[in-house]
Amino acid sequence: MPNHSASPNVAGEKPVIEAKGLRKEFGRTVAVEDLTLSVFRGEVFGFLGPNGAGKTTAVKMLVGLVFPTAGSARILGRPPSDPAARAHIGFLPEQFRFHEWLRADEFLDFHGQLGGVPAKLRRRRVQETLELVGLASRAQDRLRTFSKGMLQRIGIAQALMNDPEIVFLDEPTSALDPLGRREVREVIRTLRSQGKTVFLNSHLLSEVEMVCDRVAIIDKGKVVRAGEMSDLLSSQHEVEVKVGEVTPALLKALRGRFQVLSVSDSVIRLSVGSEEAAPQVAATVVQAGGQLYRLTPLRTSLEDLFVQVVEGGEGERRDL
Amino acid sequence: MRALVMARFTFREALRKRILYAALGLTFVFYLLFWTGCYFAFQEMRQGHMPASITRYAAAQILLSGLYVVNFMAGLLAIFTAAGTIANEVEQGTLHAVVPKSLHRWEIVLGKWLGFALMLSLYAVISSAVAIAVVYVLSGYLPPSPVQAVALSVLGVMLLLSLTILGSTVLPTIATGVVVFMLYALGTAGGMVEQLGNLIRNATMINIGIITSLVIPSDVIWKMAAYLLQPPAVLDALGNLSNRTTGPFTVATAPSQAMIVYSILYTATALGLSLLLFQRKDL
Repeated sequence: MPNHSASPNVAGEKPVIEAKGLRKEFGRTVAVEDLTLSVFRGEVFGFLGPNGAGKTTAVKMLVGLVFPTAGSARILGRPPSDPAARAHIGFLPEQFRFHEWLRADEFLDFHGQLGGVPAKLRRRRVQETLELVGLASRAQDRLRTFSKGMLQRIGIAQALMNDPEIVFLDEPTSALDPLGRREVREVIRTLRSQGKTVFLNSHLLSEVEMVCDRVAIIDKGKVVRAGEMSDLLSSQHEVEVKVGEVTPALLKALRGRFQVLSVSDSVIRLSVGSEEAAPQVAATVVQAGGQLYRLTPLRTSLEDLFVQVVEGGEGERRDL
Repeated sequence: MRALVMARFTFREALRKRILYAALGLTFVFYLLFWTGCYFAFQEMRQGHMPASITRYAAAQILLSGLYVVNFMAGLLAIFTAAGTIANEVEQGTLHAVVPKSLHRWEIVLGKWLGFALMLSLYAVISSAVAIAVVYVLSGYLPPSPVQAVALSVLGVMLLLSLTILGSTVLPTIATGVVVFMLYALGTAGGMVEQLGNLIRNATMINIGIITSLVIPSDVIWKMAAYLLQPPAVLDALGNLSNRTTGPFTVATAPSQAMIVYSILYTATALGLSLLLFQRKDL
């Protein structure tokens, strides 16, 4: 696991979001065990994990909704409980339940006021954010009449009213159709182009893969893998071989040199050190008396990495 | 100050509550009955050539009964409009978008308190004024200290509001409504026990009354208001009856000023405690 301490990054910048040993217990349940991570300015940071891994609780600690049992969090160098720190963040909650008796423009104006946006600027921001999320034509409509997808989008608009430096989005696309998801991706890209930091909590891995620069995968309230998206994906080299018959001798030979991920009927999946290992795999199969029908180098997706890290557990995998 | 943003929002939200319109409807029905009752009562008294002092006494009693109802309605309104103000918003998750904004948590609770306080005060003041006006128009009777009495009635409502908001920060909506309403009922019952204890000179009953009024001083505040609404002649007469009370709405002896101070401190403490508890609440 890469060491992910809350220290300056290579460029010497200080993190804008910093968690050190964050822990949250609800009674006897440990929701977040020990969370340490740093997010730097301008990053789109993907925060992944299976349901119940403690993602939402972790985000809630970072935005000041939940108080940690132990450890500390810093937003722009200040604790999340400090309103001065929160003046620079936007947050879309997972449940996105709002005061539905308000009209869309009133709702945004109210949240702008809460965020300290001056009256003069507010009207313009309401218009801008409504346009950004594609709801400009519904400004006068009550939220009660909105679909779930529209509520989620107005929720994103609400998070952007104060023109925040850091935007926390907790499952921003859960209620959206593919078109809506694409729009949200565009919003995230726009935010990145404006130099903002986005903390994206999601279990939609393809989405994260498309927009995030860096990810952390958490499981059981701990970061189990973190790093640059490109590093994480390219460090994984897998090869699938189809053979005539899987014999113990063949398996033994393969295990001697590579990591066997799975075996089913005549297909064996291997993790290898690099792409150059493919010919060695072929040679090993042949030397062990196997018949090689097919050899396919696999491109690891974030999903593969996720499943491998979370479901298999790293340790278990090495024992194979 | 962001608390004022919350206050305005809460006031607008409170004006949308169905329970408010139900209460206003019931208040209106009550006024119709009250007017009708007053109209015939005073007409009969005039025709029967009652002595002025008796008419005044009757008018004071009728006004007290009317204000008792208004006061009770305002109390119920405080409990049932505010019971969910924190609890329900936490359950629904609507606070999740509000709390991370750049305001202190206490500003949210204080703002909610102010919003409800404004709405409830308007209700209490206007509906009390209407009751006083009805009796004045029909009988010519004006109570001695109406402003102070209405102010006390408002204090009683603020006390219940603060207690309700405190409940709402720690309990679910229904539980808050039930607990505060039961405390309110307990206060009223305790007040009756004390009054009865005074009548039959039973120390235990008086002590029970005192203890309940320490637990919740809502009834004491009402008694003080009621005392201020009675004409001095009635009080003199009651005094001569050596502390005997002649009806549920009459108060022979004013509760001590200390109890009023206690009630104000009680209200402030309940509000302060809810600000404090919400400050550290996990949402």
